[in-house]
Amino acid sequence: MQLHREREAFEKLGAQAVVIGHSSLRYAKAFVDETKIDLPVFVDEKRVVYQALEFKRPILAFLTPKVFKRAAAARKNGFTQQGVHGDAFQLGGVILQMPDGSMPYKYSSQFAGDHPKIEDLKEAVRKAVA
Amino acid sequence: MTDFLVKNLDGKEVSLASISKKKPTLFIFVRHFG
Repeated sequence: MQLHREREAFEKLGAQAVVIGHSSLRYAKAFVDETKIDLPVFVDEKRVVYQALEFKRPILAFLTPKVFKRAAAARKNGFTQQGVHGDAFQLGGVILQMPDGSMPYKYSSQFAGDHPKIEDLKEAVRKAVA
Repeated sequence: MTDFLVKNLDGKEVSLASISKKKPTLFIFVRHFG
């Protein structure tokens, strides 16, 4: 996901971004070491939060042409997938949580490689902090 | 919203509420590390 490249843009809007994955600390640390990502990284080892937020886990999420199309686009932009650790069928998403605990924005990936548009996230932040 | 716990890279449990206590926070839940 290219969101980490937009860190400064979100900071200018008054928000921060963090990454949460669902495998183990070991893989999270390897991810940080390999990618040099400059966002805080956390782990939800048992996918408790993923499930609570009702992020999808469809077995057939990978059997759609969209997945291959998105994968090709990701490779073109310099992103490669080294392997999947944890639950291979678990999809992700993005939420915006405010300091008061409210959640004005939620995006649930519909298939592997499905991410919200960066502009949609920025707009959600703009509205939330207005 | 019910608060939830995740672990930082030191293995310490932290809540989503504590992470977003000071400023709006985009929590990006990835499908996989890598």
